[in-house]
Amino acid sequence: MNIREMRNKKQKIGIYLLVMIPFIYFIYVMIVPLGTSIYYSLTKWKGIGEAQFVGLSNYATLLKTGDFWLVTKNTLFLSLVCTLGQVGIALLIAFLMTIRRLKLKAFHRAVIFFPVVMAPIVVGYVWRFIYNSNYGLLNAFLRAIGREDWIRFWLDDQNIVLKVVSIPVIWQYIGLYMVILMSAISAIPQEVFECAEIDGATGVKKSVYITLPMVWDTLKICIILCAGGTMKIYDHLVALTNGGPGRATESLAMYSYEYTFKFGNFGMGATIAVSILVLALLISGLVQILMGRRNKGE
Amino acid sequence: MNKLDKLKRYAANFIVNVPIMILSLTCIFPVVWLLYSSVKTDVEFNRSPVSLPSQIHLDNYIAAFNKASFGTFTFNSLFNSVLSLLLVLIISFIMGYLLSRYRFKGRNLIYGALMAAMMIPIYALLVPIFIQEKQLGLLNTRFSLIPIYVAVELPTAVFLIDSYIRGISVDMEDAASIDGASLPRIMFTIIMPICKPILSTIVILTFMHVWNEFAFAQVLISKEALKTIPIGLTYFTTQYSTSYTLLLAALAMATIPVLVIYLFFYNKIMEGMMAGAIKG
Amino acid sequence: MRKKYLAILLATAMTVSLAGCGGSSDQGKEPAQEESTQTQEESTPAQEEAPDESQEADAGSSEESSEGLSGSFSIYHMHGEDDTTGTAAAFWKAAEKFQEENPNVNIEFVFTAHDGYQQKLTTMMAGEELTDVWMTKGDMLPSFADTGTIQAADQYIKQDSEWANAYLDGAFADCTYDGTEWGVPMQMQANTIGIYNEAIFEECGIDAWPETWTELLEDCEKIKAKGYIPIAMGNKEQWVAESTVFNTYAYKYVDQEWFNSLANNQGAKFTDEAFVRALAGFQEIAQYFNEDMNSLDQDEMYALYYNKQAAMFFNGAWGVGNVIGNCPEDVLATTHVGLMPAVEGEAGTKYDTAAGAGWNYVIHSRLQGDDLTACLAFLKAVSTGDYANDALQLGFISSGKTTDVDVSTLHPLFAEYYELAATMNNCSIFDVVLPAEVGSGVLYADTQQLIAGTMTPEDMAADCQAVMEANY
Repeated sequence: MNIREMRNKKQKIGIYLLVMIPFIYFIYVMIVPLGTSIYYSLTKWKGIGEAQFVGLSNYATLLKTGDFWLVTKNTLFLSLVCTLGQVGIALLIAFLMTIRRLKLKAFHRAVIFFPVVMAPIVVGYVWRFIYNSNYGLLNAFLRAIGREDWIRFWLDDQNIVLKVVSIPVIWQYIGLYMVILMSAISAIPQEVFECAEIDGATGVKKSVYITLPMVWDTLKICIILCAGGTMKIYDHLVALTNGGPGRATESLAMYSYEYTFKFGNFGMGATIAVSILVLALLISGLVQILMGRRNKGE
Repeated sequence: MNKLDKLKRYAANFIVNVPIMILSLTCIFPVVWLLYSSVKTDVEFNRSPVSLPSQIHLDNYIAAFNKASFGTFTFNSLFNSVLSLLLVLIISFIMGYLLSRYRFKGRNLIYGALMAAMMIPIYALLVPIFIQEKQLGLLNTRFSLIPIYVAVELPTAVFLIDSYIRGISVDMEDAASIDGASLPRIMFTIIMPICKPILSTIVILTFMHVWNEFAFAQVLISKEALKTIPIGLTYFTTQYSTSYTLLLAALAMATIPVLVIYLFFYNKIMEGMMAGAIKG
Repeated sequence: MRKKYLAILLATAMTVSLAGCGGSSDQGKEPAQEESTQTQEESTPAQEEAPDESQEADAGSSEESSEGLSGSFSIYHMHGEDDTTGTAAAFWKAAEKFQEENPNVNIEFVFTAHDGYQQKLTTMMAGEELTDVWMTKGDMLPSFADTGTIQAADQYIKQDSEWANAYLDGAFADCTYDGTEWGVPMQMQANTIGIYNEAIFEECGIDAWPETWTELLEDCEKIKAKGYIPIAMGNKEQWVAESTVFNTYAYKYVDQEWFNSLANNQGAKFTDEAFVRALAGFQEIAQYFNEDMNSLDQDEMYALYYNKQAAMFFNGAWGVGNVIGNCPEDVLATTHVGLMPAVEGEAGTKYDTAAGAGWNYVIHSRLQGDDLTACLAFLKAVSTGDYANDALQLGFISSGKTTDVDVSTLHPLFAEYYELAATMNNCSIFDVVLPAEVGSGVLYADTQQLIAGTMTPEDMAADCQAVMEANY
């Protein structure tokens, strides 16, 4: 347990002040509005005139709406797939970055981050013409390797479209988690590796037995960030499919936005937003439990 | 035997290098596409968004720059990004360090609040925050956005620093403490240098988020003189048409600063830091 | 000369008033919608200049000449200042002229591009920070009107016969709610017009634009046989198929009266047999769209046409402008426009077209007095007269009547559209009038599934009706 004791009362006060001042500011800017939003979810409000308190009836209505369950399913699917894909691949690459065999490390490290900074509209554009059925690169590739039977209308086929759109999202953020994990790996003291080497650990063994436990906490945060972040996914889906066909690729965040800003139904919009919050917190709790509360690997 | 070994080594090299190379190449493609598309004409772009330009139209950049008052917007974006970034760095470092190192009453409450703020969709906070700023008279000022950005970026930064510091042994701090070093001294002269990798990660993330932030900038700012780049990017789309080439030229200009920060800041730092790990 | 005098007079009044009215400036804040603005109290110009305050109940009469007005108001709009096309350019031309003529009118322009416009408007509404004038679509009118947030525009327009007569017939249809015309319209666009490449038609053995739906289907078959896409469609954004094609197609089966009855809960239903027939017919025509219709966006739809892969497409009037601006010369030369054909055995004609103003300017009920007078004069200037003529030259039909149009100065393709537009029987646009949950919610999403063949006409009708009933 890397915990230090507070030395005296004066230091204790100082530490509490240093933490509480920014935290109170944070409460005011983020948590109070969050509370307001939760209050909206208990009202019927068109954004104008008096809000009418209706208790939990928005939630009851929402649970009875078929579309809500559809978009929830979409969002959970994306959250799962993206977490596995983004953090998994990023971890793999971060490990490979510690291996001699991998050439051109600086180059990979530089460019894998590029997509992270690209605007969603650019990513959407690029992937839409990879998937385009007419001049798309993917279908051209399938034609070239003689698998015409695999050719699909990638973004039009309701049965596969959700899986199809998850690939660009995974691809885009690999770089982000790679960067975070590499920072953590770089903090591992060199002696640890040297000792391991003396014990004969190299390559895969080194990664699994030395590196992984040392970055466990960071990995946990990455998974929480990624799973929770994907629960809010919005821009990518708008750029790629706008939620279509029908609602096949619509996410909870899009659904909430639609209610609030297109329909002017603030109560319902907030209700959906609170559902996102609840689901995301449940997921992060689950991750905490599954991965151990803290410092498991030490 | 020798030959088989060699073959094995080739195979391993192949398996390690080729997939990553493919991934890297796909990651360059959008940048390349953005650059060459931004010098096409609209007619060319509309006919085929993939094809190479037949002629290079650099004047797209000039037109885009003039159209969206890019100078003003760039200044505002830089102002917001840099100030938010500094505040996030200082606050999150202090909070992250203290929360990870000391036993706190209500620590879980603090973590819970940070976590909740991280998980709520931004769009659900727009209207409440708008009303709050209106009451404070903060709407439409130079400091409308920074307080919000700092609060929005804070949780991620605190969690990252917290998890990073937990991996670092306390021995050094205890030793310094015995030598009579004060807490601020320990924090800023001993821990901060060790945290360079994660702090530079936070620099990239925060700068990128604030630089690209759209929803709050859109709603809290109405004066042209205070608008930011992401707002300027919407000026290329009218109700019925989009001037894609100008938009892409503007996007290229908007993306470059973030790439530069990444390449010359993070990558440089990591080059030194990763050396230890790679040696093994 | 007279103008100058007036200006001096006003300026003096202003300085006097500024000196005189320091204290009591807070009484004017309450919304004044009950107070009919015609009740003319002693209008003291002195009161008007209390900084940042709009006074109630002393409206200057709107017959006053528009020269040298004073006052101030803010307007939230989506007309890009550098936008050289359509209504935006005409708006700025008219606005600049107005400001030159009325240097004492202080207008604060608040601009948001179209994409983010609605989001910011909703936020300003919820935060009670609306500007004095803003643009809104018909589906938001009831909220504004019912809460007394806006004042009806027609009470002022009717007082000025020159103004009242300056609009095209039906220009106010989209801003009429509860028998009152609340807004000031600015454009008049057909949501549907057929745009086709005559050269491809000839190549496929078609000699003219079809007059009936059966002919259209036959033509599509011929075009398909030659390897072209008969009708280009780019419905990724979900509104294109519904708003620019299906809406008008539905009017071949049902009429305006049916729609009014539906919108006002007076008996008509989405599940009515005629409407279901329209859905079924639309599902049938979808086989002639490109197969990736739901993943291409509107611009990619144009591209199919520009690249001679598609023989025709249906689009709103803005499509004409887009073709003129971006289409390669050779395709443009053989491009023509036509009305959507009627369906045999159904009541609608080829002239029935979904069309209208769409967006309207509305006025906050707090705006009174000189500020209101100035604002009304401004709205007149940016929706009628020279504005209408300028917009037409720029390839847009505005809501105002034009004077002395020389068709030969227009682009030939736009001139073709302009002549067709005059023959149209304008019907309400669904997504402008219906509650957003229906108009831009379920109708869009379900149309996408209808044309993809993943939803039956009956299911879609029932789905739409259920949402409609929840929103009456």
